[in-house]
Amino acid sequence: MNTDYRLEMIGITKDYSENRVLDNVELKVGKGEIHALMGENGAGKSTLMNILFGMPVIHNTGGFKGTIKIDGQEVKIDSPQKALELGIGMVHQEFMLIPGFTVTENIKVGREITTPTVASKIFGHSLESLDREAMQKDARKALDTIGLNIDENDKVGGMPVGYMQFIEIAREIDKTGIRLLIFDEPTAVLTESEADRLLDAMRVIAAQDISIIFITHRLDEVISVTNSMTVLRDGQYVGRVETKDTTAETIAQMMIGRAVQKLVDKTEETRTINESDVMLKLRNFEVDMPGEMVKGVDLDVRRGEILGIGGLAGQGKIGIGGGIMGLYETRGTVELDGKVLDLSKLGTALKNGIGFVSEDRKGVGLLLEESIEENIVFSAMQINNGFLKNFGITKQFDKKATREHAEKMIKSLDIRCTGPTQPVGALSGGNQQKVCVARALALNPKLLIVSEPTRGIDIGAKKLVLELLAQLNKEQGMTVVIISSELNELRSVADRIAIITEGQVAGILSPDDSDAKFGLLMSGM
Amino acid sequence: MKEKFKRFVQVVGLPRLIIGSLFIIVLIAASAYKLDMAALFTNILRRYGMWGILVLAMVPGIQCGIGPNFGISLGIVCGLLGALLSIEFGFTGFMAFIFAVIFAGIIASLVGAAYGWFLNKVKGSEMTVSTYIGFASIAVMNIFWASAPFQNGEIKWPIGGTGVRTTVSLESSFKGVLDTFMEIHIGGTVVPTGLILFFFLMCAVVWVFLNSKTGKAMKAAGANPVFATASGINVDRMRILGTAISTALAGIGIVAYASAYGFLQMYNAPMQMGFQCVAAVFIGGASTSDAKISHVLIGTLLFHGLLVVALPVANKLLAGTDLSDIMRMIVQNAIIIYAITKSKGGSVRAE
Amino acid sequence: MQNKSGIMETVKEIGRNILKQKVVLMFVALTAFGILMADTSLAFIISEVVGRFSRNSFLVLALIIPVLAGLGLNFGITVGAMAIQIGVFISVYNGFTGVTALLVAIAIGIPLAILFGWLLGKLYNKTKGVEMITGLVVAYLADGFYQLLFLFIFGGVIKMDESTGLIIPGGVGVKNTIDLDGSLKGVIDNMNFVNVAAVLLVIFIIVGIVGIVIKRKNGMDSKSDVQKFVLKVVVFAALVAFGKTPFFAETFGTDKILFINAVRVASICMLAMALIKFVSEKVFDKDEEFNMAGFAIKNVGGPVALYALTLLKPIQDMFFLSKIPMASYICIGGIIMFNKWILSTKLGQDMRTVGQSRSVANSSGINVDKVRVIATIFSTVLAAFGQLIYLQSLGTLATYNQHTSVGQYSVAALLAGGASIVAANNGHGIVGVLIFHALFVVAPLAADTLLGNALLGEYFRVFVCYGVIALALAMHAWKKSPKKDKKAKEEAEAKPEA
Repeated sequence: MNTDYRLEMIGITKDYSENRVLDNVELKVGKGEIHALMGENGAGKSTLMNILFGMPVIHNTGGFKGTIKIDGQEVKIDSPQKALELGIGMVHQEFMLIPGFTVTENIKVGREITTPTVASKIFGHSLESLDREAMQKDARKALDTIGLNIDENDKVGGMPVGYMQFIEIAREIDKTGIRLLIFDEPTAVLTESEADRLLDAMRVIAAQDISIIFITHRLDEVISVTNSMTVLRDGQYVGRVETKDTTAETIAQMMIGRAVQKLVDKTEETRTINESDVMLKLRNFEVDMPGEMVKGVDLDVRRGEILGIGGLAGQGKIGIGGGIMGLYETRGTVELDGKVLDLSKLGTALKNGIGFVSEDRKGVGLLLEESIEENIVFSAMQINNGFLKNFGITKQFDKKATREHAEKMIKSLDIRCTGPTQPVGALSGGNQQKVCVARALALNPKLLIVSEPTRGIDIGAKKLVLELLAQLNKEQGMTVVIISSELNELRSVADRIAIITEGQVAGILSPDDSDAKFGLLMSGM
Repeated sequence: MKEKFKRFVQVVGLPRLIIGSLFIIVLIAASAYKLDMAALFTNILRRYGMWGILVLAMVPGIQCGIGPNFGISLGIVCGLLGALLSIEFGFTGFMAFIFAVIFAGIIASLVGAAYGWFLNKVKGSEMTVSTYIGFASIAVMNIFWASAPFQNGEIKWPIGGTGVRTTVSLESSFKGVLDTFMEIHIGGTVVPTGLILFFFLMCAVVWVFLNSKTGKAMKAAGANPVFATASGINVDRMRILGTAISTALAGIGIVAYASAYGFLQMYNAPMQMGFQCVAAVFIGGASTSDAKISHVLIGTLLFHGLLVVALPVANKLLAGTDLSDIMRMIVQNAIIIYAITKSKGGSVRAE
Repeated sequence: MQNKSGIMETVKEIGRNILKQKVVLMFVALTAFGILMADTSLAFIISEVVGRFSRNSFLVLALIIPVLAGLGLNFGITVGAMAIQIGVFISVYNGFTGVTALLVAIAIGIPLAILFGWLLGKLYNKTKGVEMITGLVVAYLADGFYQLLFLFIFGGVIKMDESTGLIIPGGVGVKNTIDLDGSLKGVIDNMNFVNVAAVLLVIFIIVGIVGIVIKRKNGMDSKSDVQKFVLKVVVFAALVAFGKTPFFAETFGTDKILFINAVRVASICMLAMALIKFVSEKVFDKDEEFNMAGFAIKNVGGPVALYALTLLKPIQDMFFLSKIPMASYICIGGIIMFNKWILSTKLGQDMRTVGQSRSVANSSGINVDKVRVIATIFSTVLAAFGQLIYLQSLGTLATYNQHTSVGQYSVAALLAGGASIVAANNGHGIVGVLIFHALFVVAPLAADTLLGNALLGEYFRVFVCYGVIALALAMHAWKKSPKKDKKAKEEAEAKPEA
């Protein structure tokens, strides 16, 4: 056991306003060790890394509690600059590379090697001339270290994605005095062979006494490359284990494991769901949603049920909702009550009675500057010609009918507002979400797809929104599909939960299945 | 008190406050110089009616998401063509005006649709592209004017030469047909009722459209394209529609303008008109992403009222100079820059 | 065999590159058509283009730095032109003449240009992404203030002497046109360029020595550096000495000289450079792989061929009307070198980084806003110099109109040369000025012969100016649109597998 740590973060606690996102968390990484940082979305991984990097978002929100030690020395990291000086580097998930620049220029960006000139003596050092030869030499050295055999004078634009990842790494290890490197989901965009090469490169780097923090959801990679790992869950420190002492099942258990607190009280079952009565049928369904690619999903939604769709961020679960609604290009077939939908035509899903509440409330879900009433009736007006007065040549907006309907919805959904004419931008997150649901309901849908219904709203409102969905299902017999990153909330209301991993259905579980089962499906094992 | 003042500024908007105060100051100065106030008010009203529809053309453009339509000169040249056709066909009086409006509307909406299709290809750069489309369209039409085979004596040069005159008199066709309609005299002030009614009629038409199903869809497409798409609206088609309406309004607007002015100003005359309209609607309180009919009503009054009154006042102040035109340049362009800096960078709206 | 296919490949590559430059090709075709149609001698057209080139190219080249820094086409260079016009007016008003007038105009105009550039840069930082429309509107706004200054402040608020002939008699404000004859006209154009070269030689020696001292301090000097420097000084000095001889002055001239002679002088300079290169590589560096034949063809053959061309009668006939103001061309050479040099510095690299991606620049510790402001200042100041060269060449200043089209025409010329909103270099600028102004010259002439109406040609060239800008903006926006993005991405992804 290595007791001589490169990095020690002890007793880290961080609040965002009232919300505690990290509670007395500990992270210890040995010298030259590859250490995995594990946890679901929202477990607090990125907040912890932001703290380590001294990101402004931490310090603008009141800082954090706890101590950070590098090589045994206590340090104060209050800016990204400071983190860089201490030798902490980060390989970004989205590439910070300039396609029009050569590999050398990218590796040396912002840290060009220069020589003084007459002009620089007079006007300051920014007029020093570039020493391209020395820069190339450095770049070559960094590339050789990680074993990437490309010409350092080639332009980055047009190179395969895998190379770009390596160039990012080369840039980090080229920084002088680099001691600790963070890899944030580096293999997500790579092919299998590229990922293998990356893991090899990580081993090479670690062998040079550079410590690595590896953030990934792929358990197999963690087991093959890391020495040890720290697991976080809901902002809590679960534990630190040596990789050789553990198994995938244990890790999954550690990540998910929690007594399921039912957010919604179970009520007496009055519904009858017929397993063979399939309402929505997806076959080999693919969606080109950037960052949430769906790569061939087969899924049945039964009439009258609540189906949960879960999985980690970026795995494609979000794309399913957007794809059905025609927001992205799709392939494969979608059948609603036996009728194949032509999704390439805008509004097909809406016209056929599928309501949708988007995960991106402010971007897709609402017209922020418009009033509550206009938001509520908008889709019904455009799709069903509701809330319109027909004058023959023109269909005019019916203010009176709209007002009446809006007031009814405000009452029945308990939307807290000053009145139906208040702009929705001024509402709180939970109330905005209710407006979104109200808009979907105004269409009288037979199937309601709700994406991330509780994202960014407080715990009380969460419960209300989930109860509302359960109630709609139960009392009006509406079929509901809930897509959510929060397993807990799916396990509270859903009848079945489909886990999407790498764009496909990894499995369908019952809410009462074990934590390890969920964990393993989500980690692609 | 200070808080109250701040609130007041916020509600009214800084630009409106500044331009409004300037307007009041020149009005006071005008009466102090003992200028003919009745004539001034006549001019303000006439100018209001002349520019109103052109400024109104900004509203559908901004609402459908293409931003301030700097390229309304495209619509203006279509309107000029419509007016010329009406004269060429020999219509006179009110009929000449009606046909000019019909021709202008048809030509401009067709051209506007094509223009809208083009703007869909350049999303995010509409302001710069539309400005240069406007300039280029004037240059193209210059070539056309200079070589068009019009036969009507009012249009072609009196002695030899091909092409259209630089200013075409409307004396024998539709000069003043709107102004004189139901003209009211209050003291010395003449109210060009017909002209202003025509402007209000256009406002009403646009208002009805904006409150229709399609109008609401167009506004959503402009305000939040993804939202509109998610509600089954074809955003690109809505943008084409909005651009076409904007262009058509510009075409009709120039006909109304010309009828009150008495001349068709050909060639380079409409070059800066786009900027003036953009400035007026911004002064009225619009932004690069939101414009209402009320912004048109207020902005046109403030901007053009100011310019009308400033001219004689400046002449009194420093005889023989064109101080008011310089003021127009400064006010007009400063307000546009102000509005651009207030827009959330990147494109017309934040992405 | 292999060599042959290699040549074929090169030819194909060149062909592809030419085809990529559709805008340039279109302009060349239009111009060529115009020249064929125009009922004028080629010599006249060439002399017009050469004259316009020496007046306009500096302004066009002032646009390159902001393009690199991601600001797009800086329509705001107009404010630089205004700054120098203020300087010129004050200089002329106070009765300065010749080089003094030039220096006074610079002393007043350039600090103003720096100030304006700084303000403009600050404004651009507030309107990121829409700098071009901002620049355009700023030009109009600044025009308002400029008119206010010249119509009401000068001669109005500030009483000015009417006897200078610059103020409207009995009225307020500055006259419409200011005659620069006797003050600034031809100050640079008619300078003795050999003397300019001599001054440059002195500067070169000082900078060279200081540079070597700095290098030595940093322990990076080498013996060959000193040797090369001495060699350059000797050759340069010899050229200047040759220029000083009466023989040179008689054969070639020393200020505005015939185009043919300018080419000859240039080929002599190129030969001198070849000599420097030869001695440096062969003697000082003892380069083993030095290829004598290749070197001779490349570095000696070119200038000799050029010189030989000037001896041909048809060529002489084509250019007999064209005169080259040598000192102005040295200035143009200077800005070309400046643009190149900036790119070799840390600042230049920062500008490129900012231009390519502001977020990468930011995360690499580059102060994005500051770099953008500096780029804008450079552009504005260079534009001020450019307008000065223009004015002294033209000889009159149209007080209220001279600056109005500076931005538009310069931008259009740069685009005609194949530049885009995100990429521009000296080559684009030079090619652009040549073909854009060639078209400008021939369009009315061609329209006159073709249609019997020169006005149509005039309108046509205005259309071309706006049209090329609209086209460039549209093509850029088109490329940027998401659909295209996806296609490009797919292509990029398909490539490595192929």
